[in-house]
Amino acid sequence: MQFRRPPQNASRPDNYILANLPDTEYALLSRSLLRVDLPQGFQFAGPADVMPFVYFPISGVVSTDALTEAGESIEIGVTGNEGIVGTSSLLGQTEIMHSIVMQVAGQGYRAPVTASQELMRRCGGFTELVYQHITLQMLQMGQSALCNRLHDVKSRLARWLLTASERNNSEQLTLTQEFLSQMLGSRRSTVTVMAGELQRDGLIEYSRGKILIKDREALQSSACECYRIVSSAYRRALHAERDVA
Amino acid sequence: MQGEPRSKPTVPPIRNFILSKLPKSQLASLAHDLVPVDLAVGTRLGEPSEYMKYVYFPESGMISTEAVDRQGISVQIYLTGREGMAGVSAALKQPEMHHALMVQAAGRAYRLPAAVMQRELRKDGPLMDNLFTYLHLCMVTTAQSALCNRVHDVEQRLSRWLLTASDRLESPRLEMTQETLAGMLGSRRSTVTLAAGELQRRGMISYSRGKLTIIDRLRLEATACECYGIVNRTFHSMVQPPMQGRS
Repeated sequence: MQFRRPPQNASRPDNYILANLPDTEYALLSRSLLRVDLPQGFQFAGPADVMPFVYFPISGVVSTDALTEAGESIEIGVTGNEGIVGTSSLLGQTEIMHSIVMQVAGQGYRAPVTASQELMRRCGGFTELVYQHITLQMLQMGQSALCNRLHDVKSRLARWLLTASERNNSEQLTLTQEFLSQMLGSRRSTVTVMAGELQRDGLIEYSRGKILIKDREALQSSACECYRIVSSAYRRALHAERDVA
Repeated sequence: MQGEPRSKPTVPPIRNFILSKLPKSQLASLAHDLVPVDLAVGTRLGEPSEYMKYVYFPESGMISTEAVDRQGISVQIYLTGREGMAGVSAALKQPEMHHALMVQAAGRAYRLPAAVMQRELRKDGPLMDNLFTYLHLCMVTTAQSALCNRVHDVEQRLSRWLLTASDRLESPRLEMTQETLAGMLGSRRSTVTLAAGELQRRGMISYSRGKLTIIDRLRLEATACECYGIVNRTFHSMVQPPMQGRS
């Protein structure tokens, strides 16, 4: 996602939190930062895992999914280069409740949980950036609770595509229909029909696991209001340059 | 011999879990700003895009946090009783509300200015630990609601929230209109009425004129989706000694 960063921090990694940390805190954290590849399908953690690292993506899309005992899953949050992966560890919770997986390949930086917790305890800039991220996550999850109850598959699919492309800073997404149906908690056949409709109307182009958003404005009209509500809150919080049309 | 001077302000025993676990010194520094308030059913304590001036620590009763769409339809995402605090985003220095806060069961709470809460949170200590634990519970519940609303049916969801409400209120008796129930579940009133009727017919609850009593808790637990158990385990790991919904 596009975000504002202080000009003097131009050389920092392209992650909102890293780019906006105060100098002293960045100096402390950067010692333990390691750049890593985050390929598609990379599992940050599964339920009941202990996460040794937190991650700061600089590209790609991270999906957090809730799972049922019967093996159904549904996406509850999307994180890109505006956020951090592993917030529950920062809240002192060692056990992960969800499945966290790289949905669209990218790169990022990782830091040991212990170093990040230490920074958290300083109650300074890092803590405030994490607070902001948590609040945005809560907004996203709460909106999904409403959206999953009230809105149809087509609007949810449009919402998801817009959100993912915004986090990924690209109009193109590489993902399978299997992924899509898992994220939306809907049957694959239903998702295929809906993606077909969006394609027929010229909003997206879909072939061989690549989705290209062709008409963003029209896709926004197809999406439920959840997209606008969440997206405009993100933009306000991150001082993004362009606002939602 | 004379005892302690009588002028010392007497603080009634605090029932709220977050406050009651604070060291006496920290509680004393907050005492001046903590104002007891009544929670009347239906009172709205915050709306989306409003700024929250206060956070609320319930002593009794229950506050519901809801996601709201632009037509005003709301879906409950979590419930706060005396184990927690309503207004977490204000405490986290993000005063612009994303959700609506509504009193769902009458009771009492301590109200604290958000600015004071933020000031106290700048000290690394028990208040921060307690809030973080509670925040984790809120996040787990919200995530579970997103899943639950997609994959579980109305009877399972109704059972889940009745059990949760009874846990937070520590009572098998709940006062809830059908309107409140429908708002909790994000379902039509008629659908919720049918589901409640079915639970009543099978002897799990009794329900008349807005008074609902859980009669057979074990069977209600068996009817509820797994979301109840998942959230409940997190709840019990943070609340010691356990609060109970059973009377």
